[in-house]
Amino acid sequence: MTLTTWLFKNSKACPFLLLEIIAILFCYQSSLAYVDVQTSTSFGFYRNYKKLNQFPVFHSWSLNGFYENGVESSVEFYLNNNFSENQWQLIPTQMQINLPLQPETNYSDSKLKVGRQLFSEGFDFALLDGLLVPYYLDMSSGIMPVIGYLRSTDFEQKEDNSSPLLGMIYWTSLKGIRFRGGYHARDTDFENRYIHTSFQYQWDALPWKPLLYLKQEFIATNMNFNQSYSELIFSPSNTVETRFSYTNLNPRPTNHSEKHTFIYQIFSLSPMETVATEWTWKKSEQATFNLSLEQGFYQSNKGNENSSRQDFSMDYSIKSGQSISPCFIHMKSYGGEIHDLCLRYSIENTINSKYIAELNSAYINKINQIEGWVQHVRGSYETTLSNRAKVLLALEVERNQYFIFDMRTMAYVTNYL
Amino acid sequence: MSPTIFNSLFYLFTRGTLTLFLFSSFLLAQNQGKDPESKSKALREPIKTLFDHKKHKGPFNKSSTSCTDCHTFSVKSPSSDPLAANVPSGYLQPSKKVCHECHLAKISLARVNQCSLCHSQPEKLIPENHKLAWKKRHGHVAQMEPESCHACHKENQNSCNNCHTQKNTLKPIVHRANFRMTHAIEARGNPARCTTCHTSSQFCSRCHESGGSR
Repeated sequence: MTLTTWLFKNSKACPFLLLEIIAILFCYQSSLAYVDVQTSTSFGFYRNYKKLNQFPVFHSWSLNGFYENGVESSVEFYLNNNFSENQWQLIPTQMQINLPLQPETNYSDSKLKVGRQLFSEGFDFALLDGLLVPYYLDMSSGIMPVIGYLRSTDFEQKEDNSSPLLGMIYWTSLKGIRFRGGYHARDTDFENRYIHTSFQYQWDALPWKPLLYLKQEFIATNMNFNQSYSELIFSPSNTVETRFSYTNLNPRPTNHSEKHTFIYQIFSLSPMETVATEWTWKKSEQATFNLSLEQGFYQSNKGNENSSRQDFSMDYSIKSGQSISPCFIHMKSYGGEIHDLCLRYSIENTINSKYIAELNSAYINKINQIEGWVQHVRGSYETTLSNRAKVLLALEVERNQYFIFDMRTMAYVTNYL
Repeated sequence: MSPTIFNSLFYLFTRGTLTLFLFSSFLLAQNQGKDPESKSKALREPIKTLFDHKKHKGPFNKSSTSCTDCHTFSVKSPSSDPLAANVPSGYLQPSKKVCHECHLAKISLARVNQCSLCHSQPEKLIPENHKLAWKKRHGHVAQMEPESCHACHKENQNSCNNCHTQKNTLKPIVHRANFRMTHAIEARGNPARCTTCHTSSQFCSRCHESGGSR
């Protein structure tokens, strides 16, 4: 067993060790630190279609500390439960300590970040249990070594799907062209290695200020193309924006061993390609319109499949504090067709109270012979009890092919200690 | 890229660009002479009332903040004559931005809305680029220019986690109503969209293999 492998296997306990370190820092240095604590509790009741009563509870807790010399700590976890299914889970979503690396310079983002933290690089979006060291070489360029275990942000699974990761990221900016690229070795014995590159440039001098964003990923061993995302944005004025995009995406589970059981593979036997355009027009402070069109292509075990989606929405402020947002969505795929009408109405009387009502009515025609109208209504009232507490009461009602009448009530209480 | 996709892409691009040109020419003509944005960042009270030296004494001591951190004395007398008049005291006032040196960097007060402590209309503080299709675009900007996000969103204070890792099943904030009934059609239409967030192979099976009781 190599030293690196040993370190990875034993670093799984790292977040819990860090919790202790942070607790110690908190206890011994609280007089020297700025600390804020936020707790939030949600609970509700509903009956599922098997007519079983459900009592879900959700509690989140976060503590952020700023200590002398610029050291920062952050802990966040949540407790989730469904009493009737006995699903208690304690889930740490963030536990990290940040140590400043260049306090004498303006590069305040140069840090040594240890613990569980969000990781978003290239085509990865996951949690990292490990070490990230963003280090600025100057104001616009830097390097970032990364080592640790990558795991899905989806915590409800029973099995561990974490995957070891070792990598290096570099970013720079030259004459307005931003570049960010990296090399990642991952999975057991780092057998899968990828190179990702991203470029961004905006032609400010040209009409409509086109902005081009390109992101690609290659398999490092043979430099074969793996996946890409391309986007071209035009901004004819401060109130209009148009986006054209092309994607060619491969399934990317957190752990490569899951690739063949992955949801994506159930449908698609090839990389998924999409072409899309989206237009947004902010007519005034009161009204914004949005239209998006998307076509998708891939191969499944049924042959060549394609899908389409058209989405039109609008946000309109009727008067101060009141807004209405209607939308129409049409979607068609092998799975069926939807014509979806939605309407969202919100009233924000003061900074201390807010009402939201959302209505959705859709005509669906699914491949499993379900056809007809489905309705869903959601409503909520949120009020601030004090500078440090707020409460939200919510109700939702569904009527569809499974439920003649399905209702849920929820309450959310958030407290800032 | 297959010919079908290329044709679709070409069609969307040419048709879209042409329509956009006509559409935007119309809009630009409509918007001539209008001020599209109110830049109001009004404070709830005058800054002299909001900021109290006595109340800040404790926090300043804790964070080793000295007088010259705010009062930089960067304005010098134009005269080198030692007997010349002093710099008017107004010039020694710290910049309003200096409040953010702590409030956006070092500390986060335990409040429902920090910005509303001082600003009467916090919604006016939202940057321009956040107002058009930002929900779809913010991920790329956050990857390419993380330091621009950190100027306002404290890195370790759940700015990203609040939406991306906290899976409160009671409070759906991503999917629209009726999604439980329609998600199969969307998943079959664009499975890549689902797997941006749901990166575990067990995600579907938890409901579908347990008979949908959840």
